[in-house]
Amino acid sequence: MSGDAEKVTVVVRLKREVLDAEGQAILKVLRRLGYSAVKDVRVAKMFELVLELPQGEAKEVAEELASKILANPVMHDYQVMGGAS
Amino acid sequence: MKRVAVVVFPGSNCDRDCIWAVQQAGGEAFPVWHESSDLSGADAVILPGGFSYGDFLRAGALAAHCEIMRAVKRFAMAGGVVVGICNGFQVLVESRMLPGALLTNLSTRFVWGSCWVRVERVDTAVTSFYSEGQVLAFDVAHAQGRFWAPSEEIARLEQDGWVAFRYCDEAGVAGGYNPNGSVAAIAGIANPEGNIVALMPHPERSVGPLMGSSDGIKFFRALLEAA
Repeated sequence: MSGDAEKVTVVVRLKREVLDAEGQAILKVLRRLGYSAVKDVRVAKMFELVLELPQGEAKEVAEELASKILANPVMHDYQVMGGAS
Repeated sequence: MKRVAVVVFPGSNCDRDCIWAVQQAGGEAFPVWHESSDLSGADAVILPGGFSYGDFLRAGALAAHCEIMRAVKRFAMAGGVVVGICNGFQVLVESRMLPGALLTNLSTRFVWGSCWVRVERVDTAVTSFYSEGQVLAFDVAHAQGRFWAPSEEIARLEQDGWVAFRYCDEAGVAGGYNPNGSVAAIAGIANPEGNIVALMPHPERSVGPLMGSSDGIKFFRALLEAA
């Protein structure tokens, strides 16, 4: 008997050592607009997953999805939030 | 006559050019749809350029998980020749059949036009008819072509001879012109066995005088020879 639908969030970020070209482009524009206080911008991706699974399995499945598909472990770090552990 | 399978993903757009290039080189080529479960007895496989799955999630990331890639992986593991061009390179790294990753170009722009690459290895399925250090004129057309891997990985790749092509200038100076900012000006890599090779530039767009360069003809002749 499956559980209720659970919302799990996965955030995927470029590893610290990767130069974020997109973030740098955004940074340049923000500074050109006068926001000199902005020192760095890094762009991340957020996935909202709705999972219908037996109680307690959502987080584990989300971890698997994150490490295998949503994120590329060569260049990404990821974080899974929500879902009963 | 050797037969080359050219995989077509939804969004691939260089498949016909690859088929044509193989024919120019004296071989036979045919398209294989991404939902196929086998390669129809092909002697070699090309993963062509384009925007498979619209580059959604990451370029090549969704295509890496489609049905035909199981057969492509088995074929490559058994020593079959698998060549990735542009989006094909992206699919191969996302499939973990080749190391590293391909990130957004440093300029953040889609880069297109001529480039030069230097042949770093002649013992791969596509470089055997070139000489080491030879400078080839190819075209690039990509937004996510910046090859990257953690620095220890890059050191290992360099040491173990994984680099097959390196961006250079017309005189062959490595990194003289690097269209996307890739680490160590790496334009293409190959496994030590040389049967899995991939590069970001498009050799299939340099197979005749009307294209501005015929440097790519030997690429496909070598591919057919190795198949």
